[in-house]
Parts: sequence; structure tokens; C-alpha cells
Amino acid sequence: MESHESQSYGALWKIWGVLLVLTAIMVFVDAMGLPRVLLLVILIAAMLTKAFFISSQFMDLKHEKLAVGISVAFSILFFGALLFALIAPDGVAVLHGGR
Amino acid sequence: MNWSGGVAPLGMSWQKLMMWIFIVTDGLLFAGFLAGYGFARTGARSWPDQQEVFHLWFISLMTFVLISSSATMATSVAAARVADWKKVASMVLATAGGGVSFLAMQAYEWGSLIRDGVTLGSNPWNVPAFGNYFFLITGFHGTHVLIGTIVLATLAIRVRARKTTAAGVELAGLYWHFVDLVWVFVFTLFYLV
Amino acid sequence: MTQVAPAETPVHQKQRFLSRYVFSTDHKTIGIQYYLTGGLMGVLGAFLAALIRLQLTWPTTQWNFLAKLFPTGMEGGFMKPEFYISLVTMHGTIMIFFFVSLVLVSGFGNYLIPLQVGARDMAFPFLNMLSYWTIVPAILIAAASFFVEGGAAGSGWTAYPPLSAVPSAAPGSGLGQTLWLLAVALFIVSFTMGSLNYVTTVVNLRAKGMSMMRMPLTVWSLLIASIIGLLAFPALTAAAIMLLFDRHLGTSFYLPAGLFIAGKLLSNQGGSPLLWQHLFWFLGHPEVYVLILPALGITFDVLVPFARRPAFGYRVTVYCLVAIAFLSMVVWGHHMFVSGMNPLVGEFFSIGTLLITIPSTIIGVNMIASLWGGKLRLTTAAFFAIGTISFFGFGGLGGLFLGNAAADIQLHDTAFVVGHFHFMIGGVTMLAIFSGSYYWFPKMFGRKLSELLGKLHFWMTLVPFYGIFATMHFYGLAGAPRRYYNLSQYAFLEGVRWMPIVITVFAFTLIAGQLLFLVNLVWSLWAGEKAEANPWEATTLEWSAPSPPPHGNWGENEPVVHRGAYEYGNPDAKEDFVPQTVPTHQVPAHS
Repeated sequence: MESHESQSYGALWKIWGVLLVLTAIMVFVDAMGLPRVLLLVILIAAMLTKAFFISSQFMDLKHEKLAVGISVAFSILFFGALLFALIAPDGVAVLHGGR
Repeated sequence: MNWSGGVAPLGMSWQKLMMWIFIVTDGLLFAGFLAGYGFARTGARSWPDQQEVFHLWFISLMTFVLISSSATMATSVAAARVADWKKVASMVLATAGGGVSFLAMQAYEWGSLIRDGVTLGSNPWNVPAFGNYFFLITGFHGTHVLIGTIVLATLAIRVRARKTTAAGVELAGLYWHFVDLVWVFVFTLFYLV
Repeated sequence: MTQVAPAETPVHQKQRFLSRYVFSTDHKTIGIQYYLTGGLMGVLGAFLAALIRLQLTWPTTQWNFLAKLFPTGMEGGFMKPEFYISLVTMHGTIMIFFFVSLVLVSGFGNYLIPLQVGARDMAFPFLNMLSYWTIVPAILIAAASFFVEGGAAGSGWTAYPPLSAVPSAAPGSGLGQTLWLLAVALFIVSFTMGSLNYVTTVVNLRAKGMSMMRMPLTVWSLLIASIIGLLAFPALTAAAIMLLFDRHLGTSFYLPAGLFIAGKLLSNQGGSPLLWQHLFWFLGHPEVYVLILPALGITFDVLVPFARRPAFGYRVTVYCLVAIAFLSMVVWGHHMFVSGMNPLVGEFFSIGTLLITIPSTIIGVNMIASLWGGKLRLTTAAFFAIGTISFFGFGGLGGLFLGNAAADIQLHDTAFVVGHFHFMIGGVTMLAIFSGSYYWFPKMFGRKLSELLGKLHFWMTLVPFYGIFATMHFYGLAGAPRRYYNLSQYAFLEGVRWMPIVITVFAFTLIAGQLLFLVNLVWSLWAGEKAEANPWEATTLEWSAPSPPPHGNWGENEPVVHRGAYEYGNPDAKEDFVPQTVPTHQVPAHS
């Protein structure tokens, strides 16, 4: 078993609160009717922040070696984003040309 | 990090390392689904307005339940580290309960959408891709929640019998937090964007 | 304390037959199981290739004996078009997933990794056993798909929709395609389980002193291949699930509006086959590197002891393997140049593809340089390893043409592509399988394979292989398309009618040559020259274990490593090689 400071329960429930606040903000912003790009930026930023808190605090990545967190985050986020970024132009083309 | 052999360089048991690698592959599975969803939405002439189609307050409640279950799970892992097995058992059960609630709410959501005419083949807004991706992505996420709930129920029984280790609870916790993490992405990209 | 070693007792206990030989959790037994299973599937794949060659070369001949074997597909002795494309589909699927991957990655990987890093077994031996026993139903399902109604899948190993997404589209699109998807899904599960073990074992279970840069290149290449496999396969899993939905649940992930198939207008709308292409090739391209990287690693491991000098540029080779692996994950679009993609996106993929040439060439040069100034021992294994360099170079040249988006417009879907990829994932990999087999057979079974039969086998493999697939490059340049059932009807191929005949003659020679290997294998198991622990006087860890190694590999004491993997020609040593376990106070380390 790895030896490090045990997380105090209070700290965990503080994170819970942060996550809930972020979620509430996201839901309200969504209903505000903002311009599309601004909405996307805010929502994705909030989403990634939530993901960061869950992975680093709940999944304890902040106590593991940095290499682990970077590898996990990079693998999923980079390749996920890459897949979307290189497939989307074809989506746009389908929209305009219909293939 | 000590890469010279004879030690675990990442300070992680092989079990935990395997769980993290599994989490990456499962995460990429959902990334594949979401990339397809992104493709479909970029190429769609129109898309149903989520504010109208979904009861977003209800979905937010589901999100609250799942996040809370993640908090109870993290508490149980912390309790396991100080061998407070009573607390571990109660927190694991609470987490499992959260899972069951989430699934029930998801089932209700599915039921209400199906009643509104959303099927795998068609829907009232004439964008079949919407129904396709909705049922696919929430279905796969729900399946992961179900599997996690079963694992947690088993874990709770074993904790009662004092047959688990803190490492075992932590492994289950990693899986459960992963399921919550996927929901963070699905909730944002499917329900809000 | 962090648990590093697997929970296995090193002491050998008497086991029942089933748990020792059938459901074994010993990585060596599992490796051999994979090797033999894969070998069997290779024979099946070769048989399918022979049938393909018969159709392409003599399409008007009546093959009565084949009509008896395949009453539906070869009714009246003439091949039906749908049977032809199911042959092409299954040949590709079986060779890629159930032959090369099984033998090279799963077979050699399972056998060698714990031995070469100094572990007693893989990190999770039970999972390892499960990974093999998941493959068995996969291959049974794939083989069974030939005998169901409609026959085997016929959409190519690439399974493009709508042909693969609409069960009524073609005979093989029904149950055959469903079984194909099931077999591939099981393969992915098995591969993932295996890769989890590989990565965890290499990271956590290396022996004391076995730092990453002291590992043999075989292990590096298998580690890197496992990582890109783990990252890339989920996209195919996602794609396959969506395809199953389209086929059976009425969704339209890949099916656009307006499809008129088998006399019916389909009600699907909103999907696109392009999505499948992207998701499939996101896996499909790294997959071929999963196949070729271990081949390159094995080639180094074989070349070096037979050159009696250290590997040239070990570190650079490692970096190049990593570079190739990363690049391989971002260039999948080069399989889609003719899909009508945005030319800018095409350029991105083209540049990335051509960049891969650089680390690949460096690796090839390092292989040749690893022979430079060496005292060559030209055993059969060495022959095959040198042959690998030759195939890698020649096949790679074709890649330069195909990676160029503009040139690919002409060459896509011609025999040029078929020639190219056969060199890379058929030639390089096959020769590496053979060089590895001749090299490690003594370790696995305590006997050597016959050198005479081996050398004959080598020439009957290398020369015909060039005859087949080099010719195919030119056949493709002349315009011959791939996957076509009958090319004799096209006047523009008049000038190259001799090519398919030459190819087929060489093909049957190649197949016959492999019989030499099978005979060698069987004969040597019983009557081969006995081999001691280190018959090749090699330095890597597996050679310090007995031949074959016992359960737990190392007896009482695990090995401790004091030097790099390729210490040959150390001037401070009495002999011309220093095994990795020799302490530095006996012989100073030079790596």
C-alpha cells in the first residue's frame, strides 16, 4: 500500500461542494442564451475543471507520480480531441454537400 | 522515479496500474462514441433543442446523485486506509445506493423520451442521429453504472466479512470515479452543448 | 509495501493435465499455445490465398474438386463473385488478427517478456490464461462463418458500410458479417487483456538492475506496440458497436438517406460511411504498427548475437520506435485520400505519413550498421533477420508513393497497395516470425531446428515473396485494381496478362516452401540436435535460464542485471560476449 497522508473527510466533501457549484453554473449558463462559441468555451472549461477535480482529488492522482496523471489525461484528452478534430471537417462537408 | 528494476517506478502496485490502463481504454471507448456524436452534430442540419427535449432539472438531479456517490466512495477509500471498516461498509453501500438511484432516474428519463416518440429509428424532430446517440451513449454509461453497482454490492458484502484490503476498495473506487467522470463529459456534451 | 511481484510461488508443484497444459497460467505455455494456434490460422489463411490466386489467374477454369469442398461458393466448379470477396475478406482478417498478431505479439510476447525482463511470470497470470481462451472461441467463430447461410463476411477486412451495415446487401452481409464482428470483438477483448499484462509486467516486474535502457529491443517493441494497441482498439470497439446497432437495431450511425439496396429503399437517414472509415482506420493504421514493431525488435535481437557486436544505435532505435508509434496514431487518413476529404486535412495526413519514413529509415540503417564490422555467424535465424531488413526497405519504398496524397489517387485500391502492405505486414512480420522461431526454438524445446531445412526454407520464402509482391507493385502501376473478381475482361490490362501468372507460380512455390518449416518443426521436436541453455552464446536474460525454463523461470533466485542487453566484444572480457547477469566486479560493464 502506498504511504501518504490520508485524505480528511472534510476535504472530500469540500470538493463535492465545488463540483455541485460548477454543475449549477453550467446549467444556468446553458439556459442564458449566450452566443454559441462563448457558451462552448465556458461549458468545456467548466467540464474540464470538474474532470480535473474528480481525477486529482477523488481518484487521488495528485498523490501519484505526476507522470501517471499526465499520461492518463493526455491519452484520453489528446486522442479524443484529435479524433473529433479530424473527423469534424467531414461532418461539415456532409452538411454542405451531403455524402 | 526509479526505473532501475526491482521496484515499481510509478509507486503503484500492478493491480492499480492495470486499473488505470483499463480506465484509459474505457475512456477512449467513450471518446470514440463522443467523436461519432460530434461528427453527427457537425453534419446535422438541425438538432433538437435540449432545453425543450430534456427535463434539465431532472438530469441535474441525476448529476447531483452521481457526484455525491463519488464523494461517498472517496470517503470509503479514505476510511479503508485507516481501517475504519464500519464506515467503509456504510459508505460503499451509500455509493451503491447512489448508483441504483441514478439508474432508476435514467430509466425514467428513457421512459419519458420513448413516450415522447424517440426511438432508435426516428423521433418527432426528424433527426434520427439524436436518438441513436442518446440511447447508445447513455445506455453504455448506464451499463457501466450497473456493473459498478454490482461490484460495490459485492464489495460491501466482503467488507462486512472483513475480507477486503484498502487496496481493493481503492480499485473499486477508481472504477466508480471513472464512471462519474464519463458522466461529466456526457452531461456537458450531450445535454448542455 | 508496494506489491511488485505476482502472487505466484516459484516452487513447481505437480499439476493435473488440464491445468498444466490446457488452462495453464504459465506464460511460456500460453505463448506456445498462441504460437501454435496462430500457426494453424496462418495455414488456413494461406489456403484462402491459394483460392484467391486460382480465381485471379484462371477465372474460366472449372475446378471440380473445389466444387465438392465449397458447394455453394464454387457451384459447378466456378467461383461466385460473392465467394471471392468473402475469401479476400477472411484472408485479410485471419492473417492480420489471427495469424500475425497471435504468433508475433501474443506468442513471442508472452513467451519472451517475463524471461527477458527477469520476471517469474506475467503480472496477472490468470488474466493471461483468460486472454488465450478468449481467442479460441474467436477463431472458431471466424472459421464457422464460412459455413453459415450466405457464407462469410464479404466487405473486406475493412468492413465498410453500407455493405457491412445492411444485412440484405450481399450474401455475406447477413450472419457472416455478424459472426465476423463477434470474432473481432472477442479478439479485441483478448488483445486488451494481453496488453494490460505486457505493460504492467514491463513497468513493474523487471528484475533488479534491469533498467529500461538495458531491456532487449524485443521487449521495447512489444511494450510500445501494446501501448498503441491499447490506445487505438477502443475506437474500433466503439465503431463495431455502432455497426451492430445499425445492422440489428435500426439505427443510422453509418447509413445516409436514399439507400436503395436489394430492391428496397431503406428508411435510414442522417448517418455516413465516412464515420466508420475514420473510426476504423484510427485503429487500422496503428494496428499495422502493432504488427511490425515487434518484428523489428525481434530482428535486432536475432541480428546482434549473430554479428557478435553490440546493436548499433540502441538508444536512437528506442526513440525511433516511440516516434513511429506516436506518428502512427495521427496518420490514419492516408487510407482515405480518395474519400473526398478536405485537401488540407489530406495534406496533414500526408505530411505525417511521410514523416514516419525518417525514424523507419534510421531503424533500417541501425539494423544494417549492427552487422558492420561484426563476426557474422550465418545461421538460418540470421538469414531470416537479414531478409527482414531487405523486405522492410523494399516495402518501405512503396510507402513513399502511397503516402503522397496526390500519387495515392492513382494507386489507391490497386495491386500496388496490396504489394506494399504484404511486404510490411506479411513479409517483414513473417520473416521475423521465422527468425524468432529458429532463434528461440532451442530455448522453448531444448532442441535446435535443422539448419539445412532452414536454409532451404529461407530461400523458398525470400525469392518467391519478391516474385509475388514486387510484381504486384508493377501490376498495380499498370492499373490493376484490387478486390476485383475477374480482371481478364479488361482490355487495358492486355500488356500485363503475364503478371498474375508469374505471381501465382511464385505463390504456390512460397506455400510449398513453408511445408519445409512444418516438417522441420515436427521432426526437430523429437529428433532435433539437443541444445543447452545458451546455444547461440547470447547475452539477454532468457539465455541464462535452462532450456526449456521451469515454471517460475529462475529457480530459487531471481536474476540481477548488471549491464545492457548487447554486450558483445567487451575488451575486458575473456569471451566475446558478457551475459547481462555477470556482475561488474567480474567484468566491467560497457553498456
